[in-house]
Amino acid sequence: MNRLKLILKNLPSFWKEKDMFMYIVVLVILFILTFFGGSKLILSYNEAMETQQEIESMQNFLKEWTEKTSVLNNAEYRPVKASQVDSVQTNLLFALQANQLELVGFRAMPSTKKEESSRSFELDFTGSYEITMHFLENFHAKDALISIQGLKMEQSKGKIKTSMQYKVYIK
Amino acid sequence: MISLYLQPDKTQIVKARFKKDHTLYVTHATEIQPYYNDLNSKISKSINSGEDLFQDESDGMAPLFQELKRIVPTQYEEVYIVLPDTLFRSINCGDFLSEEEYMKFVQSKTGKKDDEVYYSFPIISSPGGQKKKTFYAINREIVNALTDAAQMENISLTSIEPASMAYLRSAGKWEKEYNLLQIFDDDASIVSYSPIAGIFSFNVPDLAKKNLEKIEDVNQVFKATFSLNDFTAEQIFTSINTNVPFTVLVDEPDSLLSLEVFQDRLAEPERLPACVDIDLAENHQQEWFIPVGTLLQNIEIENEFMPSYLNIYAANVLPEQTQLNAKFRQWKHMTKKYSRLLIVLLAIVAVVETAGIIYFSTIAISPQLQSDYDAAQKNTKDVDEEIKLLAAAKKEHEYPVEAFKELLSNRPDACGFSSISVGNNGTSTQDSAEKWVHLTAVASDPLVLQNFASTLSADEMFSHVTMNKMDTDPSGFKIADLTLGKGKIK
Repeated sequence: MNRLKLILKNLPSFWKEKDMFMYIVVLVILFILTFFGGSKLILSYNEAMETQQEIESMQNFLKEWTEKTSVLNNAEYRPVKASQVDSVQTNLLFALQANQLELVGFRAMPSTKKEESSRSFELDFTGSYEITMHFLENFHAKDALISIQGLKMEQSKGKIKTSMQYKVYIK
Repeated sequence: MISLYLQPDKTQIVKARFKKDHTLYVTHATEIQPYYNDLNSKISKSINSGEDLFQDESDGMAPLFQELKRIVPTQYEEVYIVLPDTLFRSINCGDFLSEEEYMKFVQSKTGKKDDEVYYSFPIISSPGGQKKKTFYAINREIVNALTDAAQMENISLTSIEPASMAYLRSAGKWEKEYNLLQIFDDDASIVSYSPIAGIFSFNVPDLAKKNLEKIEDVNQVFKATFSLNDFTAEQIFTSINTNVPFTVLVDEPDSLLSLEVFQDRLAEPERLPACVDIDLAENHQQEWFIPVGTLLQNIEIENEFMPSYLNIYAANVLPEQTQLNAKFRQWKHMTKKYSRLLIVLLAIVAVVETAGIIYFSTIAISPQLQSDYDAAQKNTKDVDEEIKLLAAAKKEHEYPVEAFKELLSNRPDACGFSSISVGNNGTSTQDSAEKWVHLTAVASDPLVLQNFASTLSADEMFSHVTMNKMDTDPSGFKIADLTLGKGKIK
C-alpha cells in the first residue's frame, strides 16, 4: 500500500518531463493525422472505385456505340432524311425513264402515324421483260434504304405490266 | 534484466529475460575484471577519513557501468547488483516481539544510526509461536556509490542484494539448513541459514586464501572455525541440526575441498531450478547461482516443501524511493522505446495513407473520354433508331426479284407465266408468309403444271406450295393458280 502511494505520488513527475511530454504530443498528433488520413483514404478509395466503375461503364457504352456505328457505316443502304425522300423518288423515276420503261402511274400511299419513319409508294409501269428485270434488280436510289413491299407482274400485249409497292425509310 | 555479482576477484555478469512461460532465459553470462576492491577500499578510506566519496567520475563506480555498457546493451534493462556478504555491516536474525524492540536489536548489532545504514528484512520465520526476523545491514556509502554511478551512467539500478540470499533463492530449498562458506583472496565469510530462525553471518578472515597459505595445519583452522560456527548456530538456531554440511563457494575449489575437514561436511553440488533456462553444464551451474538467483527475486518458485511458517522476501537494500526512481527510469525507457516504434509505425501509416490518397485522387474520368461519351450519348438515340430501321427494312423487304428468279429457274420449258404477284405490302402475319407468291402459270399439258408445282415444293425458298385451281382457256391451254409460302431466302 505504501509503495502504491509512493508510485502515485511520483507518477505526475513521470509525465511532466519535457521529452515525455514531446513524445505524447507527437503521438497524439500522429494518431489524429492517421485517423483522419485513414478516413480520407477510405473516402478516396470509395470515390475512386465509383469513378472506376463509371469509367468502365462509359468505355463499355462507347464500345457498344462504336460497334453500332460500325454496323451503320458498313450498311450499303441507310435511311434518308425526310427532306431527301423527294430526291429519292426523282432518282427512281429517272431510272425508270433511263430504262425506257413506261410510267403508268405513281402515287404516295397515305402514311399512318405508325409510319413516321417511312414513306410508302406505289409505282405502275410497263416494259419488256428484260428491261423490267434489269430495273427491278437495280431498284435503288443511291444509298437510300428501300424495301419492296409487294410486286405484281402481268403479261399484256407482249409487255410486262408491273405494279410495285415500296417503302423509303426516313431517319 | 542484467545482474552483476561484484566479487573481490572478479565480476560476474548475467543477462536474462523472462519468457512467456515464466522461464528465466539466460542469454549472456560472462566474467570481467573485479570492481569490488575499488568499492571496498575507497569506502573504507572515506569512512575513516570522512572525505567525500567519489569526487569525480574516475573515482566512482562509473567505470563498472561503462564496461557493462560495452559488453551488453543496457538501455532498456533493469540492473541487479549482488554484493558479497563480507561487504555487509551485519547479517543476523533476532526475536521479533515489537518493531521498536527489534530495531533496538538491529541497531545494537550494526552499531550505527538508522540514517547511516540501509536495511533489508528478507526472512520472517514464525515456527511454534515464536517470530524471528532476519536483517541485512549495509553502510549507506556503499549503496550510494553504486546508485550515484548508475544514475550518472543512465543505468536503471533496480536492486542491491547480498550474495547469500541470491544463492539460497537459486538453490530453492528453503526447508533445508545451509552453511555457505565464501572464500576470497583477502576475505571469507560463513552464512548460516535455518528455516526456523533465518540467517546469521560472520566474517572469517582466517579462512581467506592468502591467510590459509601461511598456515601449516589448515584442517585445524577450518575445524576450529566450523566449531565456532556450530556453537553460534546453536545459540541462535535453538534446534539446528548438528554437522550441517558446508557449501563452499571458492575459485579453484579442488585443492581446498580435498582437505580432510570437508570429508564429512561438504554439501552436495546443487543445480539451478527448472525455471532457469541456461546453456551451462550441471557441474558448473553452482558457480552462477548468485547472479542468477538475484534475478529470481520477483517471482514465486513452486516448492512443495516450503514451510508454511516461513516468509521469504527480496533482500534488496535499495531505499524504496531509489527503487521507484529506477522503476520509473525503466518505464520511461520502455515508454520512449515503444513510443519511438509507434511514432515510426504511425509515420509509415501516414505516408502510406498519403500515397494512397494521392493515388486514388488520380483516378478520374479523362476529358477525352468524357467528351467522347457525351457525343455518343447525344447520338445514341439516332443510331439506335437507324439500326432499328435497318432491321425493319430487312424484315419488311419481300425479295420479289429473288423469288421471281427462283421461279424462272424451276420453270419447265413448256410452261409460261401469265401473272405473278410477290409480297403482301409489308404485312408479316403467318397467313401472309404462307401466301408470299401468287402465280398464274400456263401450259398445254396439265402434267407439266403439276410437275412444276412439285419442283417448287422441293425448293427451299418456297413453302406451302398449293395449286388453288386449274382451268382450261378457250384455246385449250391449262391455266393454274399457285400460291407459295416464304421459305429460306438465299
